[in-house]
Amino acid sequence: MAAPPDVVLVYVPDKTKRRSITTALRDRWSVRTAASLDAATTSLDETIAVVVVGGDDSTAIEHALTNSPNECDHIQVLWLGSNEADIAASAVKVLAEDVTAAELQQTVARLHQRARYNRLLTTCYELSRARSEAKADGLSDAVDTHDQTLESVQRELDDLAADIDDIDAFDVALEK
Amino acid sequence: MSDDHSHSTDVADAASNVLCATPAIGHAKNEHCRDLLTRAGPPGTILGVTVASSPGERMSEWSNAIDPVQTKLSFVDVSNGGRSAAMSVDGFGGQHGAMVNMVEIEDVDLHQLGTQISAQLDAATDGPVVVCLDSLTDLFQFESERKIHRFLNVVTTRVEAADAIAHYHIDANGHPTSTIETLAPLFDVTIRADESL
Repeated sequence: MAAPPDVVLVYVPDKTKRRSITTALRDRWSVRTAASLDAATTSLDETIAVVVVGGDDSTAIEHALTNSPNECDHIQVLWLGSNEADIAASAVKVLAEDVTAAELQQTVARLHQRARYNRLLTTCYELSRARSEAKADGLSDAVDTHDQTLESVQRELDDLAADIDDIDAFDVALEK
Repeated sequence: MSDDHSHSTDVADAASNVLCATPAIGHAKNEHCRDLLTRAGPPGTILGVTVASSPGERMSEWSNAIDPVQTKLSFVDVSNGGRSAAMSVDGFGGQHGAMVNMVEIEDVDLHQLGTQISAQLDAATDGPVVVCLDSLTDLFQFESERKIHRFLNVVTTRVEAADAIAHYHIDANGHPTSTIETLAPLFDVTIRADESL
């Protein structure tokens, strides 16, 4: 199974900070930038894996994620800031605004793993359901096809699970 | 990927994770449980995960299959998992000196349950390590099929990574066939026992 695009969306209204964050990340990932909530909302689609949010208020992006017409359930949010009162419920990680490039990259890498794990868990469940339906309908060829795909997905999941700690694995599985 | 086998626990010998679908009424559940506990020989460690059933009840059912003095026993027990008043977290008096490590979780919290199962697997030193989860049907009282599927995906992977073996009880008549079929791919083997056992 081909790896899905894992784009990082940097939604930071301040131009200088946005540029700095983008510079730190673009050697490893495709990066989109947004200076306004409208631009960030427009950018949200199934190719986005991580959203890095800066500025005073991240709750608006949470609303955008929840109400996006695109598939956004897997998206992991990283909030850069110092005001804990503004932390959105969906922000998985919070880092200080003056975080180093290395720590930023390390955290985004971890969030990418979580996003990928999330997608694979969803795919595994959907395939399992489809297989169940095919079996109920007596479609043995379809069952065999689903079995092969499931084996491939499960192998990817097992490989990824080896690199994810329990907290992250169960957080992602239980969508916390 | 699950192989569909009825009745026999022999096919589960080499399997890391086994789904054990038996009727809630009758002896099949406990007979299969005892067989699955000892399929890799006398267990060095048993990790029991109890929701509506109690640790004391499971211990009582296992008493003829294991030596509680030789086997290290741990339980992750959900206190408010729908247990009847008649089943308490009773002591282990009469279990001939068994020492039991007990981790209590107050409510059905899959995150806590999962991380505790994983922690107990990591802490186990005496193999073979055997996990008995009783039961998935109890968890379905509290969580959706989707969430349980995702939870089990993590747990079964952790069991395999720890070189442990596990079986997971589910009421064969308590769910539509589609639910058991949807869960089956997560397990190496699915055992389905009918009421004749």
